[in-house]
Amino acid sequence: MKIKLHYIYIGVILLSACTTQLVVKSKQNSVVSITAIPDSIITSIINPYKIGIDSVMNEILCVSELEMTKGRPESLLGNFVTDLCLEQYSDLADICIMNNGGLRSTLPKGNVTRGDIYKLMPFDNELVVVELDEKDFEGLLEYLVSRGGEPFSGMNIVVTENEKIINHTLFREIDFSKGETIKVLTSDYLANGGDKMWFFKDKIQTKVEIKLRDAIINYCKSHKVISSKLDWRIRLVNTIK
Amino acid sequence: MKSRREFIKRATLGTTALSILPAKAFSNSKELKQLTVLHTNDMHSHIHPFTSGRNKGVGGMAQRATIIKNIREEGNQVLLLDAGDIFQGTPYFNVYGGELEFKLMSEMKYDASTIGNHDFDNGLDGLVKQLPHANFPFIVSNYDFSDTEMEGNYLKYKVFNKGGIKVGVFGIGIELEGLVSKNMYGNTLYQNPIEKSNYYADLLKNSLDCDLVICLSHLGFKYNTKKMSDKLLASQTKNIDLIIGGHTHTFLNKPVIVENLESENVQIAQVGYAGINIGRIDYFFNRKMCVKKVDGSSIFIKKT
Repeated sequence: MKIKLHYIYIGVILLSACTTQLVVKSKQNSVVSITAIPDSIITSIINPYKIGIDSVMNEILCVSELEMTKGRPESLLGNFVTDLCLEQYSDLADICIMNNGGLRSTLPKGNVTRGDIYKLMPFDNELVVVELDEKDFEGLLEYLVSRGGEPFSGMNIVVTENEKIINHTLFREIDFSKGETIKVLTSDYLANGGDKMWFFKDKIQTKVEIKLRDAIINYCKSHKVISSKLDWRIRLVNTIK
Repeated sequence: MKSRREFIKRATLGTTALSILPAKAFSNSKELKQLTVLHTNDMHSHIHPFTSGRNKGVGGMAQRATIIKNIREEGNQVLLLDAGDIFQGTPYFNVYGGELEFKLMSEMKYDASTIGNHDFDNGLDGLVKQLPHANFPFIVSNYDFSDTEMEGNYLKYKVFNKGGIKVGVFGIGIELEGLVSKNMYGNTLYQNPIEKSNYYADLLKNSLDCDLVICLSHLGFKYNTKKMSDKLLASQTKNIDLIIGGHTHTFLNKPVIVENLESENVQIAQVGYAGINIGRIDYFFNRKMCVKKVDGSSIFIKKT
């Protein structure tokens, strides 16, 4: 009896070890395209929510003179968003910086609905102001250049081909030598170190008490027509003559 | 009924042990037990098919539900999983906070999900508030929520019994610092993915005797840096059979194979984002509960 149990024990070990290596087979190109009729139960759950969403999102806020897309080094959309933020809160901040990646959709030419703004800015990011000293502000400039441009407003930057900053002009003068700081308007996401904006790390944030999306919506509602232009705010120059 | 099956299983084990039959005796495909693992990731509140852009007309949760129902009607065991970032991406999230997403996933009978970085977008309280709408568990093994309101509202791992196939599932979340605002994740502590994976995979495979160990990950498929990813995780761990990933919105047509610490194959799967695709992996087990065959594909939800 003892011997039998011993055998069973060995057997269990053998059986519990699956030694065969898995090979994933697949059908042809392994993508199977299926057209499906919407499930009626799921649709019935969605419907009351959809009615609520549609009534809110179809509201026309303004008319845009042109289609605005994001991009680098500057873009119609990036300039539009950062300019409108700084314009509305110029009493609180000197410049504004956002991230290209955070602009999630193109704004159409013509009617702009609340839904369009939600597509552009689906995140519930809040506007905050962060004060930077000269060293961290230089870090911000280097960051902008190293990224090939990110949306900003309130200054101009001239850059050489090897990513060296030749010159920058702040629209509002800051005398760093007298210990003045620059007030930067941005989103809490970026101020908390998002997109590796390290110069904001561990700085005190002052809340504007508005979501970025609501700042855009407010601007659109108070301007019947909106527009944007590329103005060489970040300019690459060839220094090799 | 269960005890009888257990008895038969034990009796079979005993007989086999004494006679030591060659493995081939069981490889008759008729005797293989099939488990269908279905998975999604990064659905980002996409309730409806896309209404514009190059994905116009594709995806949709009602469409996904029909496909899943049809697969269930094939009669095999189904395990339906999500790898996180259920939240954020359409006004449905902004207005209703994820309530509808959880209700629809519950109706589709999701078995479990892990937590993605965007699932923190309304803060921990915003996530906890929506949990009553989900009748499936959230599994994450490397977030320590003990000093947060999530404590008691999530699992470190779960063993699913799918018709006698024991499937162990654990979850791995991405580092939150620099990705999510601190005020959103609060006192959540991020823990080492490799240490936690090895611990829970060993527990599931060796102590709890699972036939298949799945890691639901929101690390991302791979990076050009040393940043932790599913590929790195797979190569630096053992006892994991399948990693179902997310975060990088990577469209894999079928699972990718990576060798683990013991030179065994680990599969990594991920199906893009927004519910455009459903991942499908069919496992065929023999009577010894060893996987004899795996079939992987990606179901593209085409426009109607």
